[in-house]
Amino acid sequence: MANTLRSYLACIRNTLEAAMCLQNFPCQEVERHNKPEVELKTSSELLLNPVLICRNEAEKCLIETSINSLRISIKVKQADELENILTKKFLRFLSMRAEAFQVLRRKPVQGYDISFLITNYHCEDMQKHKLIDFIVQFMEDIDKEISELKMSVNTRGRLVATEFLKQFV
Amino acid sequence: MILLQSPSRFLLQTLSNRVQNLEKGVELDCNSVEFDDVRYHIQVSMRYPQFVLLSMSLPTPPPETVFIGGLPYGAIDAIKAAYGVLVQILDPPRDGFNLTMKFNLSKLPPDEEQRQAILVKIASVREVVLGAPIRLILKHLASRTVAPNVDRLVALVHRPMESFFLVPQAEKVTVVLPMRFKDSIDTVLATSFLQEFVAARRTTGLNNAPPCSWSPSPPLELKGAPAQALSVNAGFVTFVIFPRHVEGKKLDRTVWSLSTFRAYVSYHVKCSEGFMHTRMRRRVESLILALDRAKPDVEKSRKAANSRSFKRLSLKGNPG
Amino acid sequence: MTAVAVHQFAQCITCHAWSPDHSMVAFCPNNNEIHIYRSSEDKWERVHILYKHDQIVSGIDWSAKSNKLVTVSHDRNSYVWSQEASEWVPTLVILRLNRAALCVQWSPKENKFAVGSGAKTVCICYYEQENNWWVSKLIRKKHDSSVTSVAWHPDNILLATTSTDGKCRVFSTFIKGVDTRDSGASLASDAKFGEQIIQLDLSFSWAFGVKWSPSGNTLAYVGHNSTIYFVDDVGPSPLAQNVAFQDLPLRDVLFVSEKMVIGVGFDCNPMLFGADERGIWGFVKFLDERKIAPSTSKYGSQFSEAFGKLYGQKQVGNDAVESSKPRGGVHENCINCILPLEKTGDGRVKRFSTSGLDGKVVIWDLEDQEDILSYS
Repeated sequence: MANTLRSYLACIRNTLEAAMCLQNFPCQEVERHNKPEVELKTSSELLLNPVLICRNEAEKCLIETSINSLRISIKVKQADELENILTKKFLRFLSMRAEAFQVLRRKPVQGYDISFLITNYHCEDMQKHKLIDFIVQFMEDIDKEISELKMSVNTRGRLVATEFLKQFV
Repeated sequence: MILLQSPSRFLLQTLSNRVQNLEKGVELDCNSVEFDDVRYHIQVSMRYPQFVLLSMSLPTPPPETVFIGGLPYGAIDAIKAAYGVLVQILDPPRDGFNLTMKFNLSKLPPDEEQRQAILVKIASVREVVLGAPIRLILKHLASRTVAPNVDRLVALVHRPMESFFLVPQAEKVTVVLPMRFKDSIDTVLATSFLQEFVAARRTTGLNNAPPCSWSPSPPLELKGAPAQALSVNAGFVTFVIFPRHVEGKKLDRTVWSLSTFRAYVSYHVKCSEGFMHTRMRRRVESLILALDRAKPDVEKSRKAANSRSFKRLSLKGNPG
Repeated sequence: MTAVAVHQFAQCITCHAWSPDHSMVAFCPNNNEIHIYRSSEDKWERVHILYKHDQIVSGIDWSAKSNKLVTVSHDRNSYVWSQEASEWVPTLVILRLNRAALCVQWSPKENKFAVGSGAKTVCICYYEQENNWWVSKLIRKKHDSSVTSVAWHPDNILLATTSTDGKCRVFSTFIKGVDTRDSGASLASDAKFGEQIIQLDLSFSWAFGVKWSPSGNTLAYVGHNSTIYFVDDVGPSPLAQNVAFQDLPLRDVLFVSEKMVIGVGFDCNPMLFGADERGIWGFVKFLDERKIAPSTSKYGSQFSEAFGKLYGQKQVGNDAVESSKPRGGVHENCINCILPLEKTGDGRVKRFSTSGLDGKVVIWDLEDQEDILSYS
């Protein structure tokens, strides 16, 4: 399992390396505007083909690239209702700190749990390789966090149950 | 604290305080609300400092439970048995309460230890009143009999408009608890907890604990229970209580544990959520740090730039 | 290491240009200003800040003979700056654009300059003596997307453009009264202003960074699909070559000689391309020696081995995926501008400069590169 995660993340990393070749590009449609083309989608020639990377049916990552911006949308594995709830809760926490995560898109792209929007400005302010490290670490962390949280819920459940039942013995 | 404690801390503290300063006349009028909508009111007047008026409000019973004069079946007898000469039940109770008792503190035993035990007992009035019907049934189980005039399926209130069910038999009592939670997160966490009860029971050390099962749909025992009692979102938990679980001193524990089971689970669900929040907050902070690392440190990069100037730029010269 | 000098001028540089004697450099620090630095004694000193634009400056060119600066910006305007005493005096050029201006270049004779724009047009500007202003003539309806780069043929008439529609085009910019017929090469001899000589549809992605070889016989430009294109015999029957490479795409190119081109871009390391004696172009080498420990990657990446080496995969912990490594070169972010500096007697570029999003201007020297000599 760990190996499929590793190749999934390696594939995302390599795709991001290639996709994160962004440049300052002013809007062709609106005078004196400069907006992420991946969001506007007004000039089709400024968009590249989106790349969908799937680890399995439940876990996938969509990378949409344009000349000045790219969008990474992630669907996190949610094997059961508990994972689903934990994921939602965790992502809600993240979105509450959206201003600290400049690259976090306030609303995920439809069909995904979380989206990042990276523009040429982010590539000017930040080192590209570390930005990619962040995205990959984020994906690793969220998986790890969800499974650790799940484990902690189960451990606590077991302790609570054991202590309760011990009273009768 | 893992297990819920039977004595109310509020009552115990208020009473101990009163007993220690019995001579001092004080005016006391306090309210307290505890889990599952149990409310207490405690009153002491200046003129009669030795009398404590303790009123108790119980969760609103659903129609399937038997309440006599606003109290669960057997509650009056249980109070008399527990407090004896100390207590006098006032009729009618204080407005808005199910029960008002007058305790005469001057009749407390002089022995420090005994007196403390009585105070704890008074503070555990919830167990005495709400636990009265289940205690009655489990007491019969201890002597391997079934109480007379008891239905096949007994409904007991444990939360406002919610009951749990007992199927009393001579050799065992089956306890079925329908589990409901308001919040979807609570529901999911509670469901996973409840499944842990089933799993935990299977471990070797707990072979003698009551058999426990969980199912999302009502078990057969609940046949004939009213429909609204069967609509749940966290399934049904069933414990089978055998005489060995109610022998001697175990009875009190069992009564308390079973009648507050829902609160116990809910309490730990909330603790779990609190823990999750702390953890998630920490994780979010660490992710923010990871993103900040992507920004080149201005101070550092300036230093690096200086140390890396290879040669002085000498570009003057003949172009072309 | 062929980088002979590195200077960190700003956080981020969008473009730069050298004064005729190379004692001054003008650049845009990724905002609406143009900074001019002069090298004096052993350090660079800021001598001017030109404020006139109100959006980011996207192009600067400094004319070698007339010592004039031309600047263009996303604010749709262009200024020609002339030095009077110690001041730089701007003259507004009405480009007649309704979108951002993206790039600018003086013509070889410096009597015209060309501006590529986000309005999918090219402006050819020339000076009208009698009115004492710069007139802008537009080449319209020829590009299907923004014009990303312009390059003048040595004949002062032909202009090559690249666009985000993926195409490279060559136009005649003949302006009556400015140009004379006999001055042009055979190609442009009877073409009217704005007439398209050729359209090259080689790239399936955005095209950038077009340049002519010193003689004007060869045209080079890059595609965002990590390919560089070389076109000989620009005219009715052009000869085109594609050189695809495994690294990140380029942004700009520079002809060092007729047979040698340097490309710069997202890989942060100048790439050298050369044509062999048969005229076949190929990738020669990276100019910046990378300071990266040999890769110890345990598992194959999706990319080629070369890519793996470039990013120096390293294993962190048990489950962690290898982290990306800085490239360890002189430039730490995308290089988007390359300019010639000194030339040898035979017209070969000996030194050149690059600037990029890391805010550095780097001077490179090609002299001691023996392996390059075979391409000259």
